[in-house]
Amino acid sequence: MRNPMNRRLPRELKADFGKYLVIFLFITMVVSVVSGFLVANDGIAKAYHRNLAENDVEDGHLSFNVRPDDEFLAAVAQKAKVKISRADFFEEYVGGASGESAKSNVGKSGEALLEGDSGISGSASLLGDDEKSNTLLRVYRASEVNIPEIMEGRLPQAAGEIALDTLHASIADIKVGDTVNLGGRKLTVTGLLAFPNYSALFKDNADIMFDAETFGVGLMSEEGFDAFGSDHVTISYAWRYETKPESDKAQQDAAEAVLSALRDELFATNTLIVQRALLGESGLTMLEVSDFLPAYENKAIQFAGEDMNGDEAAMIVFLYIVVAVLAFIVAVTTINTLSKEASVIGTLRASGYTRGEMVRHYMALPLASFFAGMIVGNVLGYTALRDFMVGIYNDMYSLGKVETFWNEKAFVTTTLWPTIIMIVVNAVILIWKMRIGPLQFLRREISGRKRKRALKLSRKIPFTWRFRTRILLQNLPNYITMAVGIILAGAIIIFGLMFEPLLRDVAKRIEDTSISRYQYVLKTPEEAGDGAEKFAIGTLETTKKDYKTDEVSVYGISADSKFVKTAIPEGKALISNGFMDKYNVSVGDTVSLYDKYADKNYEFVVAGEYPYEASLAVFMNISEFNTMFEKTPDYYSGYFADRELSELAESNIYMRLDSETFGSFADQLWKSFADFMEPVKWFGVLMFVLMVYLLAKQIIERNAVSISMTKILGFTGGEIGGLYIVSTSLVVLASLLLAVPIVSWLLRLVFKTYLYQRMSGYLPYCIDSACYVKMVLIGLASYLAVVALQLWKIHRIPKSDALKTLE
Amino acid sequence: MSFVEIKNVKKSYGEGEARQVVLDGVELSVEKGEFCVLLGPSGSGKSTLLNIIGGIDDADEGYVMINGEKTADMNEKRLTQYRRDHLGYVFQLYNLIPNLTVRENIEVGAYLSEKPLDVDELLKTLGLYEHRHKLPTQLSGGQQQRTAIGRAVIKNPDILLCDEPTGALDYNTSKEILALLERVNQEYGNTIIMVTHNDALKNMADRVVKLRDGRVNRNYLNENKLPVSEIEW
Repeated sequence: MRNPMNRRLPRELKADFGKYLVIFLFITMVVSVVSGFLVANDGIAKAYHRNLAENDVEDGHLSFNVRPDDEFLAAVAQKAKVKISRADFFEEYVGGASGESAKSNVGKSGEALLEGDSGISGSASLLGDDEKSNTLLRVYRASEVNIPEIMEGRLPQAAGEIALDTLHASIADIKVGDTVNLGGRKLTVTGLLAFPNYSALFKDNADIMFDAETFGVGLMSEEGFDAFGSDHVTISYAWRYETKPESDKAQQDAAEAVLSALRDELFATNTLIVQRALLGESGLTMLEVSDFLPAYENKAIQFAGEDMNGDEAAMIVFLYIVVAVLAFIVAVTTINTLSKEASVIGTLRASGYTRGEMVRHYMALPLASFFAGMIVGNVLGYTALRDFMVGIYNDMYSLGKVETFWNEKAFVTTTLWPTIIMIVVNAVILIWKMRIGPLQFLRREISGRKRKRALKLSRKIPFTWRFRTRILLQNLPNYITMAVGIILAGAIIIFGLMFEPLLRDVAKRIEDTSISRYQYVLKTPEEAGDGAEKFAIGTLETTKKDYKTDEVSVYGISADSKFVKTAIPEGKALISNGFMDKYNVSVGDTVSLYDKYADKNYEFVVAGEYPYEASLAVFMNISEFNTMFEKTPDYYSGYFADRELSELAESNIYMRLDSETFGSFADQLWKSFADFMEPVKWFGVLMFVLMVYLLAKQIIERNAVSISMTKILGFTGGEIGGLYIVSTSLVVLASLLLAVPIVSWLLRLVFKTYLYQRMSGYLPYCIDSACYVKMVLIGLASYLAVVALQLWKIHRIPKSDALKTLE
Repeated sequence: MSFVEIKNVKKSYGEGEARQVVLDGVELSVEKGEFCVLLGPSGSGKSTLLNIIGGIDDADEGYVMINGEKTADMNEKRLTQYRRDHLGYVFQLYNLIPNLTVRENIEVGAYLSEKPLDVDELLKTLGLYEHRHKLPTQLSGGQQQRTAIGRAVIKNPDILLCDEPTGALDYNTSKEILALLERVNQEYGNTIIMVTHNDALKNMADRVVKLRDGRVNRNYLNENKLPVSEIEW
């Protein structure tokens, strides 16, 4: 015979649909988000790696001032055991037709035009012929390396045709068939592509952040490229190793081998050129390398892959915390049910129903709603949420076509472990509650403790407040769970709110702490005019265990610097505040940094903190810098200046930093965060509402008979609400206020012990106080909805409840 | 040996000065199929004794032996199985499951037995057949108590323990319920031990046990047993 108790289940479900719906929604929400994220992340990582592996991505590239002859390239290829392929490109501003070097126009506006096709208007056609654009397109000549994946349309074949990187095209609203005006010439867009060497659109490897808005990559057929005849062609080659180096060290050695071969051949070639010139031959140009970048250092190739690895662990921890909170919420509601049905349970236990049967019975519905949530959550995770998450990545990176794979890890993470947490928490609590005998259930002594005397409350306290205090004491476990949940939801809401002001603050701080209005890093020393102060700069790496490697700028500062105003004691260094904070460095500590190219460690004794937020940095005297890094005593590599140093040769500037650079960095960072943070905020709000609703509902239901009695006694609905809802409201308000310091502490902990270890660079831990105000206001506004539902519930409790014989 | 043997059962609650002796060396035997009425005023220990017989409370001293088996020797699991196989409980409050129908509430008892009685027949015996699809809230107090008795009786237990089964009912309904218990005893041959403070009900019993201050005051076989219909109070 089937257990007739099971027939209760559908009726229970119907009677308490709100509760089970909340459990279902809660778990659906969190599982779909995390599962969607993990599945998307996995699919995207696979797409990224597939695009690298299958589309012959370069192992590095190099550029020359003039085209080297074939013998030169063959000799380098043979010595370094690489295959060298032609990978020329030109750079033109969209709409720009000037003869200036495209690169020299960085930050300036060129003339711009994007035209719609056949009169079809779209933002692609919004720019007229005379309008200006600062959008730079780097267009490659079709090559046997870096073969792009076709996302839409086809590769360009004829002259006048171009295919564009899909991300930039989508931001610029360019579609297949549209016409792009490049350097005054119209080109038809035949396809949208994902380049394996441009998954992140870094215009320059020295850029801090990618920029898909003002930079795009394109491809033309060999014939089309040559026919276009750009004045801004860069003679470039890509190399691929005959035998792929596996380890980081092997990659470095292989790149060194290419560089070494290149040096040898350059020396030989240029010696020959000098000899020929000496013999009277004219029109000869020395061969120079203008760019040399191995793939492992190329941000456009590496950045997306590194970024994907970061967030997984955080999402999983988040899931487990939410599931654990939910498990306790469910357990609290089940305990309330036990309390309500104590005498029935006592009778059944006295009749011979076992503890196991009772535990299983009371776990059945919460678990069923949990499993239903799991299933729907996973389905959504593999469909809508996956698409949403993929969309977020696709808004940042060009990764090729993403396919979803059955992801065992995501299943185990989002389904198996949460199920175990849920079952264990609920089983343990239920078994613990069921340990008492049938008699205690019959006597409704289910707390398991001997009944204590009622807490004495002063008669000076008004009756209503004594009543509310009793409600608080009676429902203490509910309220404690509620407070924990509110604090967690508050943390999620704050997390969703904090980054926008934080990143704006970062941009401001970077500007406020900038050493000079302009900072130039040069390729080779070059004299500048008045107002420019020399400095030397090098890049080292942090080596702290468990932390992601950070690049640290080591500055050699001129004596009596006008820009770095704090004196640097001899033999010591100043450390930027971000570095000190992130790595818990104190004055007097010795900081060790690593030079990966020289395989050498350098040590710096910390003399103090220097406010500088643009990067993690170490400041030392230039003379000591030059000694430490074995430079000549008069070596320098850049300038601080409060004016633009236009006298410097543009081609000799390796990097120029100004407030605009940092502003756009913060903007780009926020753009990449914004898509994530908005849903996080709303997730927190929803979690808050569902949880408070569920627990508040329990309190009303638990006191239904008393509420019914107060109605009979003549209390109005408002007065009853004043008694029962005010208690809950006080807990909600107190929890929200308590959440402020706790969330602040909690997020600081997350920053210090988790985020700082997993992210490179530095984000100061600071939460705008407006975020807390918003969190409390959002919490209270959400709670109003719950109050309305509570009032409705109180209104629906019939007076007859109190008159019925107790079941 | 009697079917139910109770030897020197002592039970007290509290400690020190607050210690209250509830049962003070109760000795009692009940034969199989007997209808035994435990009488006594409030606080005499009759419900505590019933709970100890039913294995839902422990004696401090002494023991209860049913069909040759001491309940004190049983662990929790065995005790549950014992209650499942041999006992039926009826309480003053009916403790029905509110979202199960009359029939389903009775089936809750049937589920515990390998050889339960026929549900429909029992429903007819209980006079509940017409109400079998109703929920407890749609029933009168008497009908609810009849359902509770049905839940206890359906598994045809060896012993039916009834704790003030008419305590919450009016005169006529009480009579109706008592007549039902009488009928069950006669038809199914269950041993019934019923706790009541209504002295008049001693007349319907085979055995009358009067408790006072935790001791057996009187224990005798009723030779002038009357049908419930003839008992007035």
